[in-house]
Formats: sequence, structure tokens, C-alpha cells
Amino acid sequence: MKTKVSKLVAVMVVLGMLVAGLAACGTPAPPPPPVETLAPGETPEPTTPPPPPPPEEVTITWATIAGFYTDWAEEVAREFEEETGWNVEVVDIDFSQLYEKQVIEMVGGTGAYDIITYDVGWKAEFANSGYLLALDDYIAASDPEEIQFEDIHPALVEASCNWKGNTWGLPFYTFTMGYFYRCDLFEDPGEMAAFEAEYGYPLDVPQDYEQLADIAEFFRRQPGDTLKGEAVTDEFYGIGLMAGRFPHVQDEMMSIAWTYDEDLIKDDGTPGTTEPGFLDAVHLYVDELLPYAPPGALTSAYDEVVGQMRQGLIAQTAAFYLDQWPNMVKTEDEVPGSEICAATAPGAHTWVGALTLGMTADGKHPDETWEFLKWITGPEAQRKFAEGGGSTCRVSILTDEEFLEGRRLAAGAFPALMEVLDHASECNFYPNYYYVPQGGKIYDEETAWFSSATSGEYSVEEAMANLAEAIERHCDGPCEIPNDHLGADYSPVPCPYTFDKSVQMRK
Amino acid sequence: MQAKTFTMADLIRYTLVIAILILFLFPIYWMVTTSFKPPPDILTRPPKWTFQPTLTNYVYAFEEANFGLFLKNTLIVSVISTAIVIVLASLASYSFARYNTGAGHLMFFFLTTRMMPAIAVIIPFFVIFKGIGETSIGQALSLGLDRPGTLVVCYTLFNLPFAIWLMHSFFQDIPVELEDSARLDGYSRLQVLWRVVLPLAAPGIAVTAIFSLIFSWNEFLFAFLLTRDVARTITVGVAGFWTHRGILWGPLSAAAVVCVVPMMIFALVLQRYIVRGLSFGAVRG
Amino acid sequence: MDEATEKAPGAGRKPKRAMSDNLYAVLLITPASIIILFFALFPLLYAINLSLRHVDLTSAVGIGPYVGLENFRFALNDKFFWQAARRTIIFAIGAVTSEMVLGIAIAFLLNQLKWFQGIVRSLLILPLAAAPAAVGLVWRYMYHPDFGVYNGIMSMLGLPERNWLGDVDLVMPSVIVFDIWQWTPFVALIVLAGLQSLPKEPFEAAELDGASTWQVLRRLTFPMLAPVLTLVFVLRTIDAIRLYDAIVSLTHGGPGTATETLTYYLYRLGMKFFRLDQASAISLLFLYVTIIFTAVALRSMMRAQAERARRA
Repeated sequence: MKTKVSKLVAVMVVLGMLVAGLAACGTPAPPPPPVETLAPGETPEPTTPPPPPPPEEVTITWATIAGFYTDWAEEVAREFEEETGWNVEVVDIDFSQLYEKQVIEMVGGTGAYDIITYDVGWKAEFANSGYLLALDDYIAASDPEEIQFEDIHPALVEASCNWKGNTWGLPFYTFTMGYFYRCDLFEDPGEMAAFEAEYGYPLDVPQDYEQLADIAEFFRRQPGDTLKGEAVTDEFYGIGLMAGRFPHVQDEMMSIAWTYDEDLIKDDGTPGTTEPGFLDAVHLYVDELLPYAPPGALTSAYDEVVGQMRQGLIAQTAAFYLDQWPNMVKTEDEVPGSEICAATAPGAHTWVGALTLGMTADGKHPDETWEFLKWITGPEAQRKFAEGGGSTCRVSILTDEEFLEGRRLAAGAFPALMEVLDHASECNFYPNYYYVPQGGKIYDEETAWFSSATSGEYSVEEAMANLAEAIERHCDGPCEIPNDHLGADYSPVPCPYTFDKSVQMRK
Repeated sequence: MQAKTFTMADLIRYTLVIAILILFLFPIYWMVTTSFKPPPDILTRPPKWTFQPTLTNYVYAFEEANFGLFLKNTLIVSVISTAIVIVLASLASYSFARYNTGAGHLMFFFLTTRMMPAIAVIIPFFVIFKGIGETSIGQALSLGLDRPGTLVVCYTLFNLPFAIWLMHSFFQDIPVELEDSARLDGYSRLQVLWRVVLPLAAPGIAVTAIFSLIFSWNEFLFAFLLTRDVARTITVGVAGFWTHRGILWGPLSAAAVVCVVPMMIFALVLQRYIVRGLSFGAVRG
Repeated sequence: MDEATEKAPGAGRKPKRAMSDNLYAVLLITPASIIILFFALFPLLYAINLSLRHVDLTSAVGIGPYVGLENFRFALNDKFFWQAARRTIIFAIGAVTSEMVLGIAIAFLLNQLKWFQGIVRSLLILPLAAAPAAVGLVWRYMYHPDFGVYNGIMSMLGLPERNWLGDVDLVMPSVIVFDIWQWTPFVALIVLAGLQSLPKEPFEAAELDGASTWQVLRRLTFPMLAPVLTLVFVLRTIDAIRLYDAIVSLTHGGPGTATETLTYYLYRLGMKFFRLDQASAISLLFLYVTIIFTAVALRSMMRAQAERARRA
């Protein structure tokens, strides 16, 4: 029996070597269709629209995030179907799988999706790899009134639409980050007096991260302490953080680093994560914020933090997604006497971006797809989106006084959102990695390494060194950052900012 | 057998057994009860042990999240691939058992085909099925990306090696003399196989069917990467409850129950056969 | 074994021309072989092909030129690969050892039950039937530090609540506990069946000789169970090193990279970074190791079957 099995293994080995030899010399297996390549510095040529479609049924397939305002998406799709007679199929994909599910179809050239949804970090990669159609010609050929392109906030246009001189998508849902806090706590006279006594300056919306850390420390209460003059029966935490291994920890962290004028990738293309300023930012998070967060922070994504606020467990967030306002504000129903306010995060150098819709290069019905894309990102559909609580990217809706009137529960964060977006475009604040073609991969590495720093798996220095190594590996040397069009003075430059509370929509 | 008396030692043993059963069955209990809890009662601190049962989670899963389609897909794919596996594996396994085809090397090779990590083979599978899906034969047979036929083929492929090994020991247990005497009676080889051998190997077929079904039902990675929405299965569907409002634990539990409980009932009823299969037939169940 | 001869005389339909046994045998395996060979061999060749080239699917390179054994060299020097391998081995050792010990103990316990043994066995099989991808999400909910029932029970018992999946030191044990829950019944039921198929005579003889329980265990039970125990151990190990679905639903490889097992790392390499060259190379290394283990499993299984045949 022994010899028989050893013989088997030996046969396997020989077979394996034979096969390897054959594979090496023989005809390779059919590769996926060749991917458009771009030499550095070259801009991709916008493709010309193909001839009109045959008179058969047209189906437009839209790959999007599962569970995000799907009601609105379905409704908008139905309306479009009725008007045009074409079919719209909405394919839901969980965000954590959105990247690879879409890429595998695009790399494989299947044409399964006509519209895909991309995040800011993937924009350069998708454009560079030729997965997307440049939209410039389509926009130029369309009625400006239908698109109202200038209405889309310029910060979002730069962050999520443009790359190397072309427009690659239109945004429909912005995640831009701000800051949420319990203004009832911040404005309680007893708390304000105690804070000023301890820290030497008035308790207010923090204007820098050291202040944020002070507030986090201050509001950490244990059973036996008081809060707003009442006894505390359960643990109360100074801050809620999304420190788990999800694609959110890096948005929180980078918002601090950018405020310190550091960036993930330096202007010369080398990793910036081991710079002293960057490490200071990470240390602030790990040493001065995390200790005052609930233990669940280490497995938290955005929904846990919302849950913590709504249970009255935390006093504030760090940099946080402003689109979560409609969920956050429900705290006021669930925690008696509470009020939630939105502001910009300290320094307002937070993550700016949106979920953007692009047209795939191998989609079968580009003209029809364009009509649908125009429609969902257009003023009418976006207004409906905003009415339902969605974070639109259109300035006219975000600043429409009449629209905002009485809509605090849905649109209460819009003023803060405008502040962040305005600040970004005024300061030319666009992080380098938004332009890097390896952005999607680097974004995934950020999740792993920032999370290893927060959890203590690695020390801050080790984790950031690992991240730097990963960035170098993906870029294969210094990263290419095609952002010359921004001019000399760009992200993240010292661009001081103070939040003006008068813009807030109060209860 | 002499009468069994209940001793002190038995008391200890049964106490331990009950403790063990509680430990192993508690997560299942919690999953099932969570699926019937009204959503506000799910994210509570401390956890709620009593509650007013409701069907809203199931309604949500089936109406909002399209779970009915996923369940249908899973059923179709699992049952059909299991049926195909049984037929093909019986034939091949019989050949290996009776005629020692390939002198054991071929059988060993079959078994090792399952050992390759999925990631390395997923792209070639993607390419293959994309290609097949574009041919007319492929479309007729419902093969191609995001078509149930694809998963049927995949799961048949995955289950065949194990099924062949399993049935092998069952066939070996059937005395050759029975077949020989049937041959002497004038039956052809195929008739012998059909009339004599297969009925005797029925337990083996049962074991194979159980394992193929459970494996196909529970498979995740290939279903995830080779389907989009039309052919999506329930294991992939369970993961889709993360919305902009956060993870919907209620519907997720309902989905998990729909995914997990059928196979549990199945295993419960056929437990006897499973042990034999788990050990590749090395131990009688 | 090969006793069947040419066509037999007598009644009954028979083919006009008798097929040789060999042809018949080969025909029987043909349908299965076609499927396995096509769908297994082709991807294997494809993977080998990719492992020998520079493949970066989402970049300009796409499927690039041949680079020989560069990817294998890279894999063996990749510290993240070795860390993932280390974690996988730690997990396998922790999980398999616990499952063996607990499983054997439970098997002995069940073997002595006078009543309801069948029902208990049936109930124990339930965790095995649960899809890890689905039930893993339920466990994630149960492990939740704020709403999870495990912490609820801990505090009811007056024990400190923990962050089961967020604490770097606890997360791997928590994953191991999940695996123990699913697979201990596997060990227990097989060992139980093995125990029940042992012949009675040696044990009766030992009892007559006045051997102590410990001596019986050491000299009789375990040596006779050895083939079955080895088989179970190897089968569990082969499965444990391939752990994937549970990691995805429980921890996503986190916190940090604390539960990033080899298969999860492979997924990131292949599906997030689309470096199919590196992923294929590592997969082939993995396959090689698994084949060795399978060969060992084969040997122990043959031995267990031979034992059973001998005793039958």
C-alpha cells in the first residue's frame, strides 16, 4: 500500500512537470479580450457612438449598491421604462463586493452591465483600463438643460468625474464627510462650564482634531457620573468610530491626516504614510480618540456608529458620512431631549466624493444607456432623490432655501455638505490617490492596514510601514499622479477653515 | 439484552449530554428565534429572550429582497446536479470497483481535482462559461454566466470525485458472486448493473445524494462570482442585507434560516447514512 | 477480480457482439471523465500557464509575457504570504486539536448511552448541515459586543463582556470556536461509529483478565481506533486549511489582518488586486501540499477499510 501511494505521488509529480512544460511551450489558453492600454501621459480617445440599435428590445443593466435607496432607484427606473419603452434592470451588489463583481465583468468584456457604479478611488483605474466610455461627446451632444452639468458641485466633478481631461461619469449620491454631534450636550450650560474649566476654552464645534480629542475625553462618562445634570446608569462614550476592517476606517483616518497637510501618496508618487506628520495623525486616532470610543468600534462600520448615537451611547462622531443624516437624526426620537447637529469635521479637509455612474465600454446600447444615465443624475430625478433623504450632488437642490424649508429631517446636513464641498474647490483640495490608476487596489490595502493599526495587531509605525510597502508594490515604484491641471497649489495645502454655526438647520 | 437500569453514572452522562446538546443547538435556536423577532427587538441590550413573534422579516426577505427567486435557483441547481452526479458517479465508481480501471491512479487523480483553491480556477471558469454562453447550444442548455446551467455543471464537477470515492466502497461491499450468478443466468452486464448491483448499493446512492445536495446547497464562492442576479442562489443572497440603513439583521436571520434549516432537516432525517459517507466509507455508519 | 467471461449461454437478450471487459469498463467511466477532465484539467493548465507569466489583469499588462518561476520565487519571499500561511496553520492546529479531543470525548460519552442514542446523534449533526456563509453571519451577530447574545449571557453570569471579533487576541479563538461548533460533531460521529464497529472479544477478554479502564484504553481501544482517528484528523486538516466562507462572514479577515487565512489572502490577490499570476502560483503550491495530505488520507483510509474487512 505504501509503495502504491508513493508511486501515485510520483506519477502526479511527473504529470505535473510534463503539463507545466506543455503549458509553457504550447498554445496559451484564451485570454480575456485585450484591455485598452494607455501610456503615461496619454489621454484616452473618446469613442464615437456606434450606429443606432436594431429594433429589438433594449435592456439597460445598471449595477449598483445593494440596499441604498433602492426604492428610489426602482421608481426612477420604472418611470424611465414607461417613457421610453426600454427595459431597465437594476442589479444589486453589496458594497464590499461591488469592486470585484464589476471589474470581473469589465475585464472579461462580457458587456453584462451597461452602467456601473464607481467610487472615487476606482475612477482613475477604471478610466485607465479602458472600462469606461468618456462622456464628453455625449454631454456635448445633449441638451444642456437636461444635464445641467454646471449644477453638479465642481468639487465633486473634479473628485469623481474627471480624469486626464475627460469626464468619465456623473455622480448621483455623495458620501462626502462632515461631522455629527449631540448639540444638546454641547450647549448644556453645566457641561459647557465644566469643559471650559477643565480645558480652558469654550465647548463648541471642534475646529481642530486636538479639540475633538479633548471633547471625546471630556464626554466619557461611567455609571455614577452625571451627564447634563442627570445620573448616568450605563457607559457613555465620548466618540463613535468606524475602526473595523471596512472601507470606512481609512476615510476617517485620512480626514485627520489631510488636516495635518499629509497625504497617502506624496506629490512625488512615493508613499506618505511614514512621514512624521502622518504618523502623528494616526497616533491621534489610536491614542486619543479610540480609548474614548465604545469597544464595538473595532468591529464597527458606519451603521454601528449610527446605532450607537441612536442609543445615546456617544456624544459625537469623527469625520462621518453626511449622507447618514436621515438615520442619525432619528436619535431625537429615541433619546429624550437630544438634538443632532451637522457640521464640517475639524479643518473641513475630509473625504470628498460620490458614487458615480459610468458607461461601460463594452455595453451594447450606449445611446440608450446615456439617456438613462442623464435621467438618473439629472435635476428631476435628483430632486426626488433628495426628497427621500438622499444626498444629491446638485448645488441648486442643496442650496434651495424653499426646498430645505421644513425638510430638516431629510436634508438637515445639506448646509454642512455645501461647506465641505465649497472648501474643497476653493482650496483645490483633491487627495493624490484620487488620480492614481492603482487607486482601487490601494484603497483595499488602506482598509487592511489602518484596521491593523486601530486594533493593535501592529503598532502604528509597523502598520503604516506595511501600507507604504503595499503602495509601492501596487504602483511598482513611484505612483503616477496625473493632476497637473490643478496647478501648482493643490491638495492638501494649508487652507485654514473655521466652521460657522449659523448655517446649521436647528430643531 | 438484559434490562437496563438507570445508574448514578447514567445521571452524570445524561446531564453532560444535555449540556452538550444545549451548547451545539443554541446558535440554531437563536438564529430561528431572531428571524421571528420584530426588528426593534433584535438590536437590544441586553438581548431579548421573550418577544412577540412576527413574520415581517420573512416577508421582507421574500418580497423586497427577492428571496423566492434565490430559493428557486438553489433548489433547481442542487437537485439537478445531484441527480447527474448520482448517475455518472455510479457508473464510474462501479467501473473502478469491479474492473480497477486505471489501477487506482485515475481515481486518485479524480480526487485531487477538487483540491485546487477556487481563486485559481475561477477566472478560467469565467472564461469558459462566458464562451459557452455565447454559443447557441449554450443558450439552449441554459449555460453561460448568470445562468443556472453553469452552476449545475460546476457543482456536478465538484461533487463527482467525492461521490465516486464514496460509492466505491459500497460497490466493493457487494459480493461479486451475486453478479456472477446473474451473468450465468444470462443477463448482460448492463442488466446486472441495473437489476442487481444498484439496488444493493442503494444506501451508497443515498449517502452520495445527501452529500451532493448539502454541498451544492451550501456553496458560496462560485455562485457568487459566476452569477449576477438572475441565477443568484440563497447563500449569496444572505449576504445582501447590508443597506444604507445598516445591516438588516432580522431579514438576514430569516434568510439564514431559509438557507440553513432545510439542509438541517434533511440531515436530521438521514443522519444514519451520513457517518458512513463522512469517513469515505471507512467506517460503517 | 476479473472473472466475467464472454457471453453466457441461455435465455435473455444479449448483445450480438460481446464487448470486451476493458472497453465496457472504460465506457462506464467516460461520462464522468469527460466532465472532470475538461473542467478540471483545463483550469489547471490555465492556472499553470498564468503562474508562469506576468499577469496583472486590470492594468495595461493584462496577460503578459512569460517570466519563468518568478511568481513562485515571489510567493516564497512574500512576507504577507507567510503570515497568512502561519495564521492558517495556527487556526488548523487550534481547531483540529480541539475538535479531535472534544470529538473523541463526546464519542466515548455517546457510546455509553443506553437510551436515545439515535436521537442525540441526529441532533448533533445539525451544525454540519449549515452553510458557513450564512450561519457565519448569524454568529457575527451573536458575537456583537453590544447586542450579541454571547455577551448578554456573559453578563448574566457575571463574567466580563468581551469584544469577541474586535479584540486582536480573541478573534482567532472566536473563529476557532465557530469551527469547533460546526465540526466537532463530524469527529464525534465518526469516532463513535468506529468505536461501535470494534469487535467485542478483546474487550471481554481484557475484562476477564481484570485490566483497568486506563489499560484497556491504552492497549486496546486507541490502537484499534488508530486508523479511524488518523483518517478523521487528516480529513479535518485538509478542510481546515481551506477555511474561507466563515472568514468572509465573520471577520472579513480582520481586525487588521488577524484572521486573513491563506484562502482569504488568495481571494484578495486574485479578486481585489487581480494579480492572477501570484494567485495561481500560490494556489499551485497550496495544491501540492494538499495532494500530499490527501495521499496520507488515502493510506489511512485504506488501512481503516482493510481493518474493517479483516474484522468482518
